[in-house]
Amino acid sequence: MEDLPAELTIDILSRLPVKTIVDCKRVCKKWRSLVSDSSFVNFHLSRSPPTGFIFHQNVNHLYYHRIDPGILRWVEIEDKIVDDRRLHPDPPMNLDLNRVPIFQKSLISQMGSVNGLICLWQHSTQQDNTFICNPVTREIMILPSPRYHTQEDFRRIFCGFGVSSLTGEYKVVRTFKRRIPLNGNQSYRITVFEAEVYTLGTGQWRNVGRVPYRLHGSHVPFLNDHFHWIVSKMEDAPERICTFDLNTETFQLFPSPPSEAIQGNCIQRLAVLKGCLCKSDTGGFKFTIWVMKEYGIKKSWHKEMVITKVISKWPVWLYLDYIYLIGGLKDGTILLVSGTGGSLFAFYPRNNTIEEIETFDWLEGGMAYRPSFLKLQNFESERIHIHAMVRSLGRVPHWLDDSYQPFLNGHMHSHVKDEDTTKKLCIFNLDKEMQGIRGFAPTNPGKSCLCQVIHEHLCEVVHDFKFTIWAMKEYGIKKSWHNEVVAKQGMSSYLVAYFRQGKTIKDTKLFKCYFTRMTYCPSFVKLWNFESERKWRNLVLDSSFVNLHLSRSPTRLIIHHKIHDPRMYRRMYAPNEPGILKWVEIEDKVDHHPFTPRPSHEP
Amino acid sequence: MSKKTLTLMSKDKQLFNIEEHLAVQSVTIRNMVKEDGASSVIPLPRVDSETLALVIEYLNRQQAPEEDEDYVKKFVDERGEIPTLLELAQAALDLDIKKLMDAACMKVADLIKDFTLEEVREALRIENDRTPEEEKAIRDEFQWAF
Repeated sequence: MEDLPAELTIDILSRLPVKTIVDCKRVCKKWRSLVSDSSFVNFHLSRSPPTGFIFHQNVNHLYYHRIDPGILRWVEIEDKIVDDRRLHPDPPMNLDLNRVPIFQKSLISQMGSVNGLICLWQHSTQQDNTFICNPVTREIMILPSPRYHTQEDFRRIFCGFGVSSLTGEYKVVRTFKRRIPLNGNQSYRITVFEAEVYTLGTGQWRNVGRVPYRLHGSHVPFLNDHFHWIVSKMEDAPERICTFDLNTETFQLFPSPPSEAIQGNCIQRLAVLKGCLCKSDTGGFKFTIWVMKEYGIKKSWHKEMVITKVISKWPVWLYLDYIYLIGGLKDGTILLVSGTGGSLFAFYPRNNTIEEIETFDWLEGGMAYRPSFLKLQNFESERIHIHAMVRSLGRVPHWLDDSYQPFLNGHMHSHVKDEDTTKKLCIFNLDKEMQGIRGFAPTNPGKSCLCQVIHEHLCEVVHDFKFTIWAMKEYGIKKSWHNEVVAKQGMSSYLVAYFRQGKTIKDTKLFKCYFTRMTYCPSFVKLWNFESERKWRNLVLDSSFVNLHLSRSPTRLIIHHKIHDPRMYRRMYAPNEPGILKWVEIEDKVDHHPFTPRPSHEP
Repeated sequence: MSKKTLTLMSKDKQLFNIEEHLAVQSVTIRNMVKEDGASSVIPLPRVDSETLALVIEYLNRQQAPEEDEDYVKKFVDERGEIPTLLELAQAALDLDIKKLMDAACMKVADLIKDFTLEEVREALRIENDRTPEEEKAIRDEFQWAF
């Protein structure tokens, strides 16, 4: 048989489960390029049914009360929960947010999901960042900071994420609270609610003006090009639901279900159930689900089900907990998450039973999810992180000084701090991924020193009563260690220049208290050209130019990680302060006024 | 009114007769008939006689529309060999018979779903065009594929 036509291959591949498709990229080069192609991505998206849920599990936060981003776990569910009535999580399909450096030690919430993209929100008193992530392509996009940070009360921010069916634009909308002066009088301020919209690919947030009603509901379901909120009870509005049209970018009231007198405190929440907008009420010892059968038609609201008495081994959960509706399966089963315990429950309307699904617990949330191969890189303006997990190479056999491990000749170098050994260096070969101990270090055990690379030589900088630099003239030859520089002068905490000829030290009076110093060679090497990421957009900078520039780049820049500067003094103890990276360009020699700091780069 | 008959010719020059009203389920044939009346033999240079026989059998089915879905499924299920299915899918693609192609592709996808990569290559007769080093590099990349 001749080669399969591409059309057939695409057709067959797009019918496979996502994980198998990822595997199938390895079958041959042709398949690999087929799967990466946008025509396959779109075809797959048009065909793949929303057969899955993505759960946000966070034991560390919910149980241990630690600040932790948690794990995203994806399950593909067929029409019903299979025989043993358990969902089968597939460990390789987990996205451990803790392994993504930008998420470490922060709290993350899932805000919405369309076409396989998930909107995540990182929130704390200091952080207010929005991310878009595609677990399949392992990409994470950081949206620019919104214009208004609402640090005083972040719970007032409600994010929604959706895609326009007219233009195909992906938009994030967030409403937030802002205090503005009343009639220009600065001492009287009133609180207003406003909304901002971010269109993926544009690089900036746009303020779309005042929100006409006080809204609530941390979950903002997206359906039919509209976002939906519950109108706060404090507002006197004829309808209790407010929508935001993604295309016209306006807020409008929306037909809501007839209100019912409910005893006690009732918690309302909107969700999407089998393609219909629905509203759930918890309170008065029952859980009611209203469904709007025809979108936008007030009369089509009807009470889909009321869960009052449930046959379950957990008879009390319903009355105590705030319950989220996650979604429904084809056979009518409804998935619910209890807010306090984070347990997942399946409700079977046919026999009116409810069951805890024990494979998932400590959930912060969950939502229907349709996996896709959409590439975030195709949006041009945002920063993209590729979530590549760290591979473990096993235990390190020595106690290493991990403060700074310079790289030279294909090896990383680090001091061994084991007590009984004489001063040694441990090296790690980056190509072979092997480590070994070498008696490289000059014989001065017991002194605190730093390993550095200076002028392409491996050096040790010993800094006690005097300042000594040992250099290894020939790499790997122990006898070539020699005493390069000795300065008797004590050091100030400023950056100093050492002049070899006169053996003098000059204080630059610049840049106080640095945390790290290292040499830096500026280059145009693009991080996204690395293999794991596979982005072949039209390269703005051709790789041949990048390499040429790198080989010629004559100047060395010094990069500083500033741990504190006087402006930061007051909040010096803020543990999350990342400091500032500054770079200066140094010509061949230091002049009278040598260092001209360039505009600083703050990562 | 006598029913008009068309003649289809396979790759290996075998002739098959089929009534026109059945044959026009194929969009390709329908267009040909519209254009020139298709009085002569319609050549199908990419379809062999065994596959064409299957396609004719499918086109000749006498099912009520509501049973059609099941019939297609069963029809494909009975011919559960991957090479046959691929030929069938290809013929359906050439002749533009959507239902048949969908069913055949679905069946192939179902079959290879749980295959190892080696089995997929073998079943679809794809040559592995990577060196072992490339293979290893990609395997490392996808160990944490999700």
